[in-house]
Amino acid sequence: MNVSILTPSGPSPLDSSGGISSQQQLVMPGQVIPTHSGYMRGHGTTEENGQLIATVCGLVEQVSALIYVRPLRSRYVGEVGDVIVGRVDEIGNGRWYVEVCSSQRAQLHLAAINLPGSVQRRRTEEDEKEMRRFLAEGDILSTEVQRVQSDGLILLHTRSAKYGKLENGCLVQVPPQLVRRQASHMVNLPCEPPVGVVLGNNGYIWVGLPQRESARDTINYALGEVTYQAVSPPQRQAICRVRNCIAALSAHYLQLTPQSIMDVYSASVRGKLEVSSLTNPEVVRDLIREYIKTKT
Amino acid sequence: MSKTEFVSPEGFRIDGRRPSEIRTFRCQVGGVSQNADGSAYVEMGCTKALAYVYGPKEARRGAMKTQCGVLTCEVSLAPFSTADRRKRSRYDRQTVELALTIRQAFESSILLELYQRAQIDMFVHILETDGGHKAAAINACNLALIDAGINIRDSLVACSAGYIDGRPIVDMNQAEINAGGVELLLGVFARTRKVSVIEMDSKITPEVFQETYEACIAACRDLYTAMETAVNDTALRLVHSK
Repeated sequence: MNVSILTPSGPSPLDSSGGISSQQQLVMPGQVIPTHSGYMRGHGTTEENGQLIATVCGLVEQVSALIYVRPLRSRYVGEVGDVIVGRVDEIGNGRWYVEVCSSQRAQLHLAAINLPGSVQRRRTEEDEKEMRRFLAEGDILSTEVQRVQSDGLILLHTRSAKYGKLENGCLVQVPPQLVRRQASHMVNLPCEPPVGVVLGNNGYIWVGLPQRESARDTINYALGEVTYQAVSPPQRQAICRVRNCIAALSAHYLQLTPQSIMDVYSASVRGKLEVSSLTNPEVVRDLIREYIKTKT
Repeated sequence: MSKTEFVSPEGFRIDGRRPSEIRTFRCQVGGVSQNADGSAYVEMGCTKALAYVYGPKEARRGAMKTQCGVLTCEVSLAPFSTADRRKRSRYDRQTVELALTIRQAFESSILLELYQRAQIDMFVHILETDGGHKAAAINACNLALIDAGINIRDSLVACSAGYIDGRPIVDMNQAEINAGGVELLLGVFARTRKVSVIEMDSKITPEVFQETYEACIAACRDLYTAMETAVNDTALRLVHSK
């Protein structure tokens, strides 16, 4: 039996590479943020005696008159148009309650999905009884944020062939701050064999079989239905390697983009690292060092 | 046998500190737990506390409030943490009381109105007690909340102080508490200096109280400096690796 003993280490053993850009200020809760007249108060701040005060630990951002603090770590806060991955937690009231790592469970209404077979009609009570056929408790799905209510409740929709149930893969959870809005959140990585990745803005990342090209939007819409299928061992290896690379990047608080995942993936292949060895924090640290070296 | 001397004529306490000196403060912000949204570990001398924060997540049906969030706190005192080894029930008077104190203190610190229909859970584990475990628990909670990215008005810092041999001493260890003097627990907001927690069981004159209180506030300020540095270091490391 192999026994490995690790030396204790903090959250990130990386050498500090470069400082924060001069425009950005790191603040702590309770710290006063310097302001100019006529500013607007944004998230992560509060006002007291005419002073602007940070309420979270993070970087001060300014967009014209708006001043807000972007926290370094927090739960997901919904924004319209975000691609997110979630897990169905409960079904009831003609909606699915989806766990998306937010302050409340998101809701996917029955009316916000496309019925299979390009059916365009009112949802009936019959459909409500059949809800579990489309998505059951525990199923993982990719969706988009349709609306965010004033109390932070996220309403979802899957009215596009891109979205829907996810199968034949695994889920990785990372801090939501690491997945920024980017050009495409659903990509097929050019690994060997290819691996499909869905980068949810809420920090849930799906790694699985590549998405089929046939799932395309048409006016009458055809559902790109996913079904369980056998995944070959080399395919499983590739999926696991990508999953471990994502976990490695997240452990070192590095941004997740298709490019960064691919870079770490290639570095791990180049280093001839076993997939299972990528769960060892020391191997991961060396891998990430290697990745940063090639990046700069 | 002569009476134990708590402050020597040279002005040193039994563990070699000055009366206004706090014990070695060590802490780790985040990275203590994989599952929690925020976590922190705090050491004040030999007193050790762990705090985990879960949430904001959807509140339980019964507890849900539509106007603001719900805060819960649970404290556990490890069986091996005290001088007498004893397993305490979840409903032990001492821990339930501390949990209530912590909850009430942080209800005034967290901007709960931002977390409608949501719930924030705090769990504190006290691993070793050598006096001041209440203060350590509050400090650990504060750091864990910062790590979880929860909106708070200000950092809440807590410290204890006593009054022995005609002078105030801060951050007492168990030996000094056992002397049976005054014990004052104070939780103050770092920036506004507003008092959020105050606890004292003894009867003392206003003058003595004033002196102890001021010493305690000064100790809180020292503690906050240490906490601020730790949070800053952790944050900088995250920003840099980005």
